[in-house]
Amino acid sequence: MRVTQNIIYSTQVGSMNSALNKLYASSIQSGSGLRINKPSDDPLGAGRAIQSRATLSQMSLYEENISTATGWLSSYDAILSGEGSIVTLLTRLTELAEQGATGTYTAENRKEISMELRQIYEQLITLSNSSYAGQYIFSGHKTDARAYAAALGVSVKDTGAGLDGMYFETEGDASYTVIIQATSSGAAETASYRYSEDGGNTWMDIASSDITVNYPETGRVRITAGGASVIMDAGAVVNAADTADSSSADNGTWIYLRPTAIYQGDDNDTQAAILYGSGTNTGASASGCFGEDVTVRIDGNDGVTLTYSYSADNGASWTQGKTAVASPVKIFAPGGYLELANAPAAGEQYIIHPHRAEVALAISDTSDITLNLIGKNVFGGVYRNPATGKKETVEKDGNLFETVGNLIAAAETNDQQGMANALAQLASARSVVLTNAAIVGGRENRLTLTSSALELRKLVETDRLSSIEDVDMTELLTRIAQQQTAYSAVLQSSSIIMRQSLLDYL
Amino acid sequence: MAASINSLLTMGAGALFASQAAISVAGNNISNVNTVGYSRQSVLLKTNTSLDCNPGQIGQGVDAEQVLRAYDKFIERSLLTQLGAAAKYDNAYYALKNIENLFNESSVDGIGATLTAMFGSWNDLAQTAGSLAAREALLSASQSLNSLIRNADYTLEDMQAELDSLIREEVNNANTLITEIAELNRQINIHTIAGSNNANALLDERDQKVRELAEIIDIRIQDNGAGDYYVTTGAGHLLVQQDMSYSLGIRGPQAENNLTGNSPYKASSGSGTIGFSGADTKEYTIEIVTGGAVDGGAQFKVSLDGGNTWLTDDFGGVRLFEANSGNFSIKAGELELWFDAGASLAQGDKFIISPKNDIYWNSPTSGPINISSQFYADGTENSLRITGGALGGYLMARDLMIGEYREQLEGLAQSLIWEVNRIHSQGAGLTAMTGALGEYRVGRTDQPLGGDTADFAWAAYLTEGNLSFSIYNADTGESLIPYPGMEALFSSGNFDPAAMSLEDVRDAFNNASFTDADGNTAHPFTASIVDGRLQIAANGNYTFTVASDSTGLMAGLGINTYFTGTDASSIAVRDELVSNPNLVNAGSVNGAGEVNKGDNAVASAIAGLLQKNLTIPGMGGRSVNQSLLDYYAALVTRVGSDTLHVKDSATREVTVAQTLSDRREEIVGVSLDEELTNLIKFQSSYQAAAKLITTAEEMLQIILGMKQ
Repeated sequence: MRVTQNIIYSTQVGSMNSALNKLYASSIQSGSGLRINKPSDDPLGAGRAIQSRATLSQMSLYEENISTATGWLSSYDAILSGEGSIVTLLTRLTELAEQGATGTYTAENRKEISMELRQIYEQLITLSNSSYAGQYIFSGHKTDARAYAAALGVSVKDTGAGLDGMYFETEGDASYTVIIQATSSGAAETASYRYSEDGGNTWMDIASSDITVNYPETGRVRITAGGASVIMDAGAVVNAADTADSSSADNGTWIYLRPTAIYQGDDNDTQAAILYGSGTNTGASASGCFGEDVTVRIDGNDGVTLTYSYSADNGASWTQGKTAVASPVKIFAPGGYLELANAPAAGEQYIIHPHRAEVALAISDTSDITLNLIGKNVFGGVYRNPATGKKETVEKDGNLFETVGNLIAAAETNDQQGMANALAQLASARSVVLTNAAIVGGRENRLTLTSSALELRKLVETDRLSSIEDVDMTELLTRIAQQQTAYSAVLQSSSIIMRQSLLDYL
Repeated sequence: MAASINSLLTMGAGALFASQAAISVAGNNISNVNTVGYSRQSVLLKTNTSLDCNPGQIGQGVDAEQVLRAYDKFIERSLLTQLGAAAKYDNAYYALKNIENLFNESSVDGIGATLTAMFGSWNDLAQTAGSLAAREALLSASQSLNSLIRNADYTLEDMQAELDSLIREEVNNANTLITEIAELNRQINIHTIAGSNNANALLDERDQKVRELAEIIDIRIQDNGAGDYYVTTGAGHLLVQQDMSYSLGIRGPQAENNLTGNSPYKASSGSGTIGFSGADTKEYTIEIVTGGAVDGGAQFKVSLDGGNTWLTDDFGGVRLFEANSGNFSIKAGELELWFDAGASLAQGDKFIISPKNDIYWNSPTSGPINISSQFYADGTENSLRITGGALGGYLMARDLMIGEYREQLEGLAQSLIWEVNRIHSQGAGLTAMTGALGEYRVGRTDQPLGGDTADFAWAAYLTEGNLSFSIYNADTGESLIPYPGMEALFSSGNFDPAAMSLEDVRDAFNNASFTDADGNTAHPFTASIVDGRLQIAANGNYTFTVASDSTGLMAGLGINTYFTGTDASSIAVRDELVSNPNLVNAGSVNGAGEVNKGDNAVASAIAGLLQKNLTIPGMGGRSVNQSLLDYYAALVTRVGSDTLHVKDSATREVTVAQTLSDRREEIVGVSLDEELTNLIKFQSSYQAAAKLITTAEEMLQIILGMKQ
């Protein structure tokens, strides 16, 4: 073969270039410490590194969420069962109730007890209004509102059943339990009353001008006793009490206006359901415990079987091919059931729009943790039901605020039996608090477990990322040494060959 | 008769001349040792015809017959092909190595890290749902992400524009070369006298120009000697025919017809072709599947790869589009398409739309023919188009690679916008709304919103369903709709995207009513359509929030959304949110009709999107089910492997070209050692020839001296 000078030059330049290129690539790797410095260095690795980094930062988010959740849950721990907590207060309440239930205690003794009870009541309200990081933790989603406000509650003693299940509301305030006694029998708005603001020692008659009919709306009546008023259903039958009997015996209708607390947060126990589009089921209802909006779409109804789909993301994606019995219509959806009065037709949609009060954060790819306890389920008290718009006593065994209210009323009205009755209520209230403390403990355990699992995963993922994109230093340095040798060799051989020419010998 | 002394002198003169010629040629070789395209030359020496005489034939010396250049047809031909392949990948690599940096996340935070960070900010908001600071942080994280995405798209577009201008430049260069080659053929014909006069310099020049042309576009040559020389493209389009040349051209977006023999469309009184608007890097082939009147039942299918595969519907079948006139044009792929109103189409009628700047061969008989590279879904190329040279590389980078990166980036942006908006639009911020102007425009407000004719960006995303609102007293914030605090907007039957238009939606808002706590019927909204966008305003002393929406209408029309824009070039956070972060929705209306500060349902759901598999629109209408991040990582892998592939191919092809070039150099290159040797050789023969003449002269003197 013929070899020309140009071939030699271009070959040598090519060799020098390629040797230097390799050395340069290695020097970039040693500078950054990374094997992949641009996607084309290892396309698959570059993509995987991005995923891996995202997984790592996702894990940091979970860690943050776990730490936030831990903060919330420790607050509950302290409030429910720590020092000066509800449990210690309950112990004191039980002691006081036991003392007050003792026959040897006088009215004066009970009055003294009542003063401590009022302090504890205040203390409980303060605890129920605890906050964490500026958010009230017992208010459900209404983190900007105090969970509880002190209010007047109503207890009734009646010889008849005319007031059972009736509506009560209060207005005004009273620093001492107010007793209202019916002095004549009949409908609430026509009866006459007297009241006492000192536990039944002295009584004042309620003027008929203080009985306001159709207030605040038709069908109600307001009876004002000094600074406080009770509002009740007009037409409810009251019974005259024997005014000669000054003790709070079971005698006629007695209404006590005593302390309670009104829950101002929100609840998660009611499920609203509405019909979308035209159909006969305007009165759809849902039962269960839905964490989010669930949309149910009826796909077919042949009179025997209903086929339907549901969506937990407002229709973005559907779980299809579900079936239910066509009558009575009770359709399962994640969280509970949708109940319809009439047979639905294909194409109808129902949206279950639950009351939501739980604050949840994701702590892993597949699981969430609920941060908060809903005050209403811990402290009870009185709650304005959003469905009816009316204040109702939270119907729950062991309603703490109602129990304390009744206890105060009993102490202030020298009601030994009432104090004895409160003991059982206090025991249930304690078990409610302890149950909630156990829920918190359970969640904390989950956090601990998840957190250690997360740490392990993070370690594995960090390792994986490192194995994808980090350079092996030993291997790299060896390679650089080899490449350096190769480059020097090329330079040397080039300088020898390129200098040669026939002219040197002519 | 014996040889005469005179003939000895002639012989000497001939030898002298031959050596001198050889030395000149060697000198020329040495002079041109570094000249590009120069082929080593040599003098063809030939013995002169011998004369019959006594003692028999005696030679008549040497004749320097012609100067030849070293040339190897086979290597020359292989080199041309190889130069094209090398130039293709080398030039594509030039474009891609810049692009790659856009997606490089090894040392800086790119789209992937910022995407993760934005969803992380949603998670932070979920931790403190009522916080204004978390909202501000989220907004700025979103803005960084948006600007990265927009910048990536802009840079890609910019690179496409640069490639466009490079293509234009190379086409001009090619045209210049083509005419020069034809001109050289003419001159070669003039100067060539077969067997004696070779136009070596001209031939070298022509070969050089042909090699230059081969680096621009894949070509083939046919060399019948001298100027009888042809150059065609790899696909056979004639570029040089002896001394005639045919040019290439660049033409902007255009459509051409390919009608069946008796197509009624030929009688169309309109433009007679298919109308389109929009741009894409793909060529669209439209074939009429069902003949019939425009706007009256004619249907067509669409292919983005010259008819190899057709766009499919959600169920994998070939998607059929209605052939409509301009009043109801159809969106297919990236283009809006329409036919002449009142005309009819026949089954089999084809239309080809090239919605980009393409290279055309100006055919002498049938007008311009599109020869731009076309890439099939299986990774092969249309062999009847440009497949090599710088132009092939530029077209590959522009249309196949960068074009598809942009499409993928658009898919990412589109899903991001839609999925976040879909959730966000059903949420409620810290303040209720008094009115809203939709961000997204509907081109034809009387057409079904979910159909192809509405000219609406989110048409395909709408679903059947309904939506509900909560209405509040603006002063007290009290919910006015009795429990559960919201009412369905479409009171008589659900919203049907296939049947209801924007005007129907507007009417539904205007007709919406609720019965308040006092039993009065109240109309909460006044709605109107402003420039194709829905505007709703709360009546009287009302404010409102979206309670739920199973249709996607709020997200689609751009009411109560988080992002605005429809693609990678336009993604942005809604202006209103930036000026009033309270409108960022972390929660939603609950079952009691309330919006509470501590509700993090929406923020959590959006934060969860990062891990969720979504249906993301992919290449050529085929969608994929992947999480946003996996989708993006796949894009980075694609960019990386394209770059690597092109780089490796470039290295390989350039090396092969270099090897061929070396082999050519072996044959045609000037070796200085060899020329020096030749110089010495011919110098000696020159001296010998001179000696011959002096010898002859002496002989003549001797003979002349015999007379004295």
